[in-house]
Amino acid sequence: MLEAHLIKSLQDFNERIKRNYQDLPQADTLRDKISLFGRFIYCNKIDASRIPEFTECRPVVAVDGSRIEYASFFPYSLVFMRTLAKCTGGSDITRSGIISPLNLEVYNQLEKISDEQDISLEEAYTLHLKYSLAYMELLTALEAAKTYKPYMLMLDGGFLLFDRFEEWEELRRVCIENKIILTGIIEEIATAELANWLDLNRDNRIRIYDREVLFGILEVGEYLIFNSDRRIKKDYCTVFARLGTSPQAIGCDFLSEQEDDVFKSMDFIYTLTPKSGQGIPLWLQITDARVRIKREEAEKLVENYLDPYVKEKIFKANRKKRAF
Amino acid sequence: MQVVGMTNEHEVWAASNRRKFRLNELLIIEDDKLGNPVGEVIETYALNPFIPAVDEKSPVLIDHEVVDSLSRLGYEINEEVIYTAKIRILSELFYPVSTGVRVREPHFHEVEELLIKSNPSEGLVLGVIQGTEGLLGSLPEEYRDIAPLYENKTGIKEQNGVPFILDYRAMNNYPHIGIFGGSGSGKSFGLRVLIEELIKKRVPLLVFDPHYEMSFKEIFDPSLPPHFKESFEHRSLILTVGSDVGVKFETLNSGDLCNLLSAVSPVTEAMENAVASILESGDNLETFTSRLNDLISLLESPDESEFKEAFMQRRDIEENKKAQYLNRLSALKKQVGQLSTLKSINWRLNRLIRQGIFMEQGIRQIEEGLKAQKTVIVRGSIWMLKVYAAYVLRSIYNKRREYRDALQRGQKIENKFPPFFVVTDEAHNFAPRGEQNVPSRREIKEIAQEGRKYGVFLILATQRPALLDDTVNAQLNTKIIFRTVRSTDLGVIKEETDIGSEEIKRLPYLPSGTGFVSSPIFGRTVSMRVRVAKTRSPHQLNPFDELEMEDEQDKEVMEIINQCLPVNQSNLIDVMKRLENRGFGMGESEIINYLDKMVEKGIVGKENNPLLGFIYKRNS
Repeated sequence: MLEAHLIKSLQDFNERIKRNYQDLPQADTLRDKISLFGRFIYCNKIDASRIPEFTECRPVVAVDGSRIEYASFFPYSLVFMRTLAKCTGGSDITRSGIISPLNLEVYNQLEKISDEQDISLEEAYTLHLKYSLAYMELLTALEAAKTYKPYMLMLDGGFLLFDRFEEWEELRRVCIENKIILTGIIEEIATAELANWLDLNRDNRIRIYDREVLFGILEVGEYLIFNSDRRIKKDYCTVFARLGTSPQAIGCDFLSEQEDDVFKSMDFIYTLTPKSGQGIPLWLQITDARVRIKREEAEKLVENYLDPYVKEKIFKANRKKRAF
Repeated sequence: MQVVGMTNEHEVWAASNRRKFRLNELLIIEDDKLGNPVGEVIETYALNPFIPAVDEKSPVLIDHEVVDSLSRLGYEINEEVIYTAKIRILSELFYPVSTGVRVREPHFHEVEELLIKSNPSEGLVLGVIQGTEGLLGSLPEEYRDIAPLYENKTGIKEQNGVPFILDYRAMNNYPHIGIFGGSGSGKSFGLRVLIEELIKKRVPLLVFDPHYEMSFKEIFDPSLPPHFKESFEHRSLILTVGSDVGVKFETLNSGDLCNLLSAVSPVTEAMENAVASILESGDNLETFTSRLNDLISLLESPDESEFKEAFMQRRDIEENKKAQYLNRLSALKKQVGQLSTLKSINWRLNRLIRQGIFMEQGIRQIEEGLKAQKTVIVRGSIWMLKVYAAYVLRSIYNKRREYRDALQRGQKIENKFPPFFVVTDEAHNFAPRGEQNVPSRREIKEIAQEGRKYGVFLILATQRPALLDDTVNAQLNTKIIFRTVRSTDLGVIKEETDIGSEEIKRLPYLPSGTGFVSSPIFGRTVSMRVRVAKTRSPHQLNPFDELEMEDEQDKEVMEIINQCLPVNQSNLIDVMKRLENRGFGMGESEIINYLDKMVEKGIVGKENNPLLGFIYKRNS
């Protein structure tokens, strides 16, 4: 009986979602409308033999971070963080650390955030983790930019994640001065600006985001760049692109100072992206795989370096001891 | 290189992102608390996490253009390979190895004990231990250049690792050697090398050679290194059953004789009884056959009195013995009675006589050869050898036993007889498993079980270990196993040796000349590449090469035909005559065949001619 009810609910849900997107314009119409704000451009693959000339023999750096939580429930949580700047033809730059609300300093910070933003401590902790990792990535990126002065520095995620910190200005300056193209590769587009420009959001339906608008309207190797007076976020030059077979678009943020370099940068990024798959440059995928902390790794570390007393008392959830 | 993952006290996994692991190599695991144990690599893997296997979870092949571009940027995806290996620890540990400890290549002296059990002057240098290439740099002089190798395509190759030296003296405690492997696995080659080494040590060998391939005269290859080149012609003696050696009839008892008869064709119980009745002690071949023939005549003659009358006329028997002999025949007639039985015995016996197996000197040459510490090679067809081996083995094993027993009892020693090895290929024919009655099995089984006491050892080679007698198999302490494919044979090998499941899995795919040695003398299973032989079998010519070869006669015929060109229907007769004058009687079609052969070779051209049918012309 229960299952029958669940199935019915799911079917209703499916109908409602379909209805919500039903009166969205067709891809062609959308493209026409979008053309008012920007241009659709095809990327060109750069022949491998021309790469050294193209980059003036400079390398590429990708920066990514990873975190994993070892916890029972708030505040009994311990988070491992690691960031990595991986440079083609150079050695890795890494940073790492742990964060836990059981650390008084951290706890005080959480209380502050919670008060300021009027959110719960737990939500504050989630935010804190997100920004701490972003901050660590930013520092790693800065170090890599100074060390390698690469042709391109790829960050994992949009610029909004990083530009809240003081060091962002420094990174920006270093990149512009050294002609390092700085880009933030966004795997999951979360903005709704484009949808708003297209006036797709109505009162009586759930909000439409850019990812739904962009789904399936780009060809493989095509990107969408907006006119300089149209900004998706702040004063950054944001490009939406489909570089792989997946119909879901990705985003690339560039500095407005480097707007002129966007075309060749997109060609370069496209060259580094495998045809099949989600359309993320391989170098960023490799960096992501290298930095990832595995659950077993974290558990091994905890087992080896925390006293069993501490481990049992604080981090072992009772529910993990259920027999079935 | 370091130890990774879960470990236990006998196996660990090691990983490296720079160095490939080599199968069978020895590595030192630097775990101080356990005394830095040595391990052997038993499985190897390589994995590139960025070039994943394609399956339903990741159906994506790596994009080569992207990889190429990254390479131009200074990043080689191929260098991301992680090498892992399963390592079996060779010593007994009581605690597991710590994860994370370093693993390194050893220096020769650190693993010497595990690899060298005897020095080259005292042991048998059979080949090179696989996986020891890395130790070549630290290998002492005395172990170098003693085991060159051979590759089918490239020929003779330098020794590329630590030599495998079998301490044959330890066979006193761990007797007998088995050599197993399918055809083309290198089994015969391995057997040859083993025999060569024993010849060098002047160990008396008795080799039964059903394939007529055991000769140690011809040098394997003229390009062998000079210090390695050696022939053993003067230390070996080749004898053929029926022409050089045989059976002295006087030494046979009825059981022996029945065994011999059964080599021709199986013998019934009635025949055995008949032989037992007819054979008298002191019989020679002549007395026995005449008695048998007389008995047959007696049974064949319709009237006994007629036979007696004719008998009394015979001049070949002394008068005073005639009556007694006649009585004996009459008694035998009552005992045996069946004419068909006697006739069956008779045709078997005649066949043996025609083979020349009965000879006065019997096995004298074999005994003399062994006493002179030579290798005695006995050739014969397999059916004959099966029976003959039983006879020879019983005889010489007894001699050796009597000598040793006398020695032990402190008696006066008359017939000194040396210890010796018995070697045979196709051993499953000599000591088969199962019920069937094979005369040689009893002797081989006895030597297998108690030969050690008397210094008599077996070297048995076979491609079907599963068909070899169980008791014999179990007594083969040292086993050298080459490529084996049949599952029943693999099953027997698994049961009878300490070879691990990883090695069993490799057995069907071993390259020719590479085998595993499982021996308590060595203490563990070792993978070995057999060294190049010093000598070669006389018939190594490939039959297909033979087809492509021209003999002298062909050349001469073609020369004569060549002189008669052009040839057509009208002058074919002249060619025929010319050939006949030179001693080649050939028909028309035969000559045409030769001409066609010459056309194929491009010496001659063939034209069709409307008048003459065809013309064969010399090619300009």
